[in-house]
Amino acid sequence: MDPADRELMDQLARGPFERDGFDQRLRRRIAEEIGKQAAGGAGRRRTGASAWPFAALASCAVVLLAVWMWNGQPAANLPDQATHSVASEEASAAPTALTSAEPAKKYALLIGLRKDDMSQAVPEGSYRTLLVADEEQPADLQLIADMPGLYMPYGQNFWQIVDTESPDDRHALHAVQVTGRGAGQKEKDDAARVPAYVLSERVSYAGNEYLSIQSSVKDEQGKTSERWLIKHIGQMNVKPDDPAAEPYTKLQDVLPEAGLDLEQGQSPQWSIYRNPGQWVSELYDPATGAERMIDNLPDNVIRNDTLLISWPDIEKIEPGARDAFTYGNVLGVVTDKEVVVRSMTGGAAESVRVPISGGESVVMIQWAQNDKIDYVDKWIQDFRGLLGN
Amino acid sequence: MDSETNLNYVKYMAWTDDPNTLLDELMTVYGKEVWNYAYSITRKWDMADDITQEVFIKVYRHIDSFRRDASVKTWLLTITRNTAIDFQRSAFFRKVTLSDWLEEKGERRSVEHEMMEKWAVSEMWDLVLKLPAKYREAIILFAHHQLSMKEMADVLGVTEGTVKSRLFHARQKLSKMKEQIDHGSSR
Repeated sequence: MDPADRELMDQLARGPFERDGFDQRLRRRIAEEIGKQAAGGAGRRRTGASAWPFAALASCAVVLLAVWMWNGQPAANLPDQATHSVASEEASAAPTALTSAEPAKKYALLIGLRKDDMSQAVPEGSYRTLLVADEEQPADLQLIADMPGLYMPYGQNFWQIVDTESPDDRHALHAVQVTGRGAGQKEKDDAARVPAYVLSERVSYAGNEYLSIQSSVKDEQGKTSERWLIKHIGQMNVKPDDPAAEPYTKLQDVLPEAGLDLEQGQSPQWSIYRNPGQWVSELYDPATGAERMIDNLPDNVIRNDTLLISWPDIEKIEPGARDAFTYGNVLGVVTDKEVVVRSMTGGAAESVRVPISGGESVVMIQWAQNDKIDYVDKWIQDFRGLLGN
Repeated sequence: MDSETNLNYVKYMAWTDDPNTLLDELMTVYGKEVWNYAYSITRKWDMADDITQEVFIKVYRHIDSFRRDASVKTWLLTITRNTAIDFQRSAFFRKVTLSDWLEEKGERRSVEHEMMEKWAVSEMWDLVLKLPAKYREAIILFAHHQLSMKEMADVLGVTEGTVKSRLFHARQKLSKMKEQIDHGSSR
């Protein structure tokens, strides 16, 4: 070993402080918390000052959920963001355990896949959505739907991200509500136009509210370029003729402190895309070519993106894994040939395998569970309706 | 008990049906490592406490999913890192770490930073904790937790080549910081 490394190891062998951070006080606190949770108490996952935002969010969610339940489903059309984000939060609010001491829950996993047609002058994306869910009981995963198109949950309903083609073979994406009371808006939305400057639009990420859109555009001189923007679903159908007027979500809009290191008036492009085991976000300044990774994105942009099994373990479970995601008791793995979804409590045989082609990549991962409302059953019924069953 | 014996013992314990006993053993053997790693990521004492608590609650819940042929330490450090990232995404963390950002820009020094220097067990820890996050994590996993390159790559979710690159840059930065101190220009 390099002597310098040996010296480094010697000097860092002990902890950073004379006083151990992990002391009897913390140990007791953990044991008490586990005892409370095992006894069925509400539990206090986070302590001290860091607990209040979660409690506040939970309170708001409960109040808004109650309002929704009293009023029935929200109105049609692209809805108010604050109101409609609630159900998405409820649908995928956050167990991060793979196995749980709590009563067994049912889970649903919605996966969006994109495949690019590179034979065209401008690449075109085609999409597929898979729904795998515990249909009858926990740890009873079934493939409920495998259908063309990208369907994302937003609010209480599902929205399809539709590729609209212009007569001169250009493509733009629009959001169309396909379940719930607003589903009848499809004809109007289909009339959405493809602005002259747009050559194609493709989704690299679909979350609970926001999408990351990769666009090929051309300027007045006909020069083409790529553009990466994040759009709230409510911005998807606004397609002005002037590219400068096209609405999108600035990084500062969702992460105000990010603006601290941006030049005055600067609004670089940013995108979200899939890396093995996680979503990553990148800021890109086309003027300078500078790139920077973004973390700390809020939950309404990226949610439930914690991988709780190590890569060596995932590779042992599914050799050839190139991507993986976990939630509740469910593990999803993507290999070159298939998507594998398995319950971690159902034994090795309990898995759903869906073949994929080599060119398909993950652009959406959404989770639901049966909680106060059985969102698993709701998703199953919604997709059965979409499938015409 | 040496670490290898610890590891075998914990793996043995994983065969038992008593999650409380196993959790107790895991906290005895790895509690300090989990807390130190959580602190090295966040550099905040209270948050390291919260993350450590969350990690062991997750471990308690996931005890069935622990694979006996896996490295316990790597498994725990991976959960610690993922939990810390979750905390970092929370609105509260973004609010409080605004001071970190300003601090790293050299615009102010936080109370946490003052405490860090005062309590740091050695000058080397003091320097390491001042490194940018990705270099800090790499050097601490290497020199404090003493993971192999492959284990570090697994925990960090990057390639071994990236780990080596980060270690190289971390060593370079540490060397420069030491030179500055030796020349009396750092503090």
